[in-house]
Amino acid sequence: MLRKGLLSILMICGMLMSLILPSGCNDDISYPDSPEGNFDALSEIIRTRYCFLAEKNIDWEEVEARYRPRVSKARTIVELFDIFSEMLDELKDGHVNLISRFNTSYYREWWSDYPQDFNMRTLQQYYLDFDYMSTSGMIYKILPGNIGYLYYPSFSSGISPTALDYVLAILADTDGLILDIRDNGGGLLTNIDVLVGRFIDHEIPGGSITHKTGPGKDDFSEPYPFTYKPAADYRIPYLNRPIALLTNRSCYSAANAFTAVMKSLPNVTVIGARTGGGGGLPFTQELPNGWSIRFSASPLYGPDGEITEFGIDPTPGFECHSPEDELAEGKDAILDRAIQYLKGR
Amino acid sequence: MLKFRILSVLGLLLPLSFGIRAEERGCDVAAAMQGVSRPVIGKYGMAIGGSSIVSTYLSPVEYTGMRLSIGGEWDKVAPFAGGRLKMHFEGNVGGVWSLLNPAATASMQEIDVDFSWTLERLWRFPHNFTFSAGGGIMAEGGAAALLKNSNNPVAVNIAAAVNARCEGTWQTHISRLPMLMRVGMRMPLVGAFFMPEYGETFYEIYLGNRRGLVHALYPGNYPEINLKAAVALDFGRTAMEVGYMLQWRRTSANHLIERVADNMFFINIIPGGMGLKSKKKCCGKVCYPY
Repeated sequence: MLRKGLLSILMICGMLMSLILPSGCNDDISYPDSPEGNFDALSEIIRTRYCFLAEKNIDWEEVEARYRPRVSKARTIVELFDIFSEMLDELKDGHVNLISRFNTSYYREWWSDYPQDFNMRTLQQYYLDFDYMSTSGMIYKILPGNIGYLYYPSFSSGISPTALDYVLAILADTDGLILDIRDNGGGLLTNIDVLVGRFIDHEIPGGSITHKTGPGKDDFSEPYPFTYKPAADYRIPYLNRPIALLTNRSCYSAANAFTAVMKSLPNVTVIGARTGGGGGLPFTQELPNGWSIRFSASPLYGPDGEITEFGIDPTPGFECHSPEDELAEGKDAILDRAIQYLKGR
Repeated sequence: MLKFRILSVLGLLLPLSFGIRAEERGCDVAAAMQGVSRPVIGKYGMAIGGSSIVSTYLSPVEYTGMRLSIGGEWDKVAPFAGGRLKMHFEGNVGGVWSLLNPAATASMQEIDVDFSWTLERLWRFPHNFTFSAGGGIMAEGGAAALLKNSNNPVAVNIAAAVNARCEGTWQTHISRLPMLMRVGMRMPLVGAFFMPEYGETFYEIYLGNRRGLVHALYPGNYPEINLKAAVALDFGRTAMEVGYMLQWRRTSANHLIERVADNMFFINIIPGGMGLKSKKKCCGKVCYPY
């Protein structure tokens, strides 16, 4: 009887174990911490997770084949880092960074190959007279001609809703608003909600978002649409007046997404230069040697379904630039155009 | 492979359905249950040991560190079925403050909590052996954070399932000090768990996209073992238990994998003792769950 009982116990435990052991304890692919192993890990991450290979017509297998022979010739980790960085620059994406303890790679040509169209000193000295108010990361003033001016330099700065109430209350009686986001390199997407909500009185399409569903080239989810809602009733809006949104090439990521949704509003005119793009939410992964790789993983589309990775154009007829020599002389052509446009309204 | 596992689960039920016969130790347990006290044996303790995590949502690299957890276990004979059923409940909360990658360039933090309740058939064999097996429900949740990541800084694990548990005990003694050895194991069988899609950010989930987040749990995609081996010494008014615990889980869905392995030593205090000095575990005035 005891033997039968023990046999039954062994059978039960064996069956329980059989349910899990064949699942495989270690069938994950991992790479060795060698120059080639780190290269293969980096290549696989981009090949399986980067979301714009098709849109940018990049044959990543061809890129891998060109760079892999160079890996074994790297004599130091700095040289290896440079090879990896050069390969990542082929993606032409400001959201792609290779991060080590001694350096962070950065593809800057998305703005450095273009005019800057903005100078903070020119703005502060010649247009604001060094006399402006600032709160919650914003600077603002009422310009001559009863035109409101609000500069928001970074979506990384959290916008206090109460501070924004004060700003818009002070600007409440202006005839129009210049909303300047030049040199705004992006930040938190949730700050877009806070700002857009003050300029709308009903829910509007904000765009759509997709993501990779698997490692295959075409493994993407269906676009998921999202909307922006107006701010709560007790918050102070800025409605029913013309808004000039000033942009330059350095408007990236969240600033780029903000431009896409603001451009869809009937009372908003985008003046300046095409934005820099950055329409993919970045993810981060890691190489065996501890280097981190940040890359675009989740594409954002504008309200009319357009891809935002390559930037948002100004409103037709309103593309203009502020040349460096004029900025040095105290003249900001983009800002002048906006003031002229709003006064004419 | 799936058919083999289904057959294994069915095979698990066979001996239970036919009934494993065991000799109760010289006592008509059913008759003895009339008006019998069924004490709760409660164990409270902490565990410390090593932990390793691979969560491909955060990083393909394995992170390792020192883990600490606290928890409790409670056993009690059920009021029905004549002392042949016992209830087992356990809860644990634990975490790791700093798991490091092999290059020691980044650290991950992890916290988790789990609960399990089972109703088990209890067989009492001669020579102070017991064996129990049964099923119940479990729930667990936790998060691993790799804060240097951009839009994927946290991997969340939430699961609820019907689980199976078995445990064998053997009572002996060292000199005059009663001792109880036990080996127990539990694992989830069917249920549901949460996992985002391959490249899905929590921002998209925040926007309202809930598609593809909840998955059916079965041993093929959520194999998990909680194994404990311990020795308890009963001093009379209190008892102490020391042992080893293995917690291993591999979650796979949406081309993502999360593998957690914890090896820990634990110590439990059992206030009120375990009644090991009583010669007949379920006869007379008191019925113990072993």
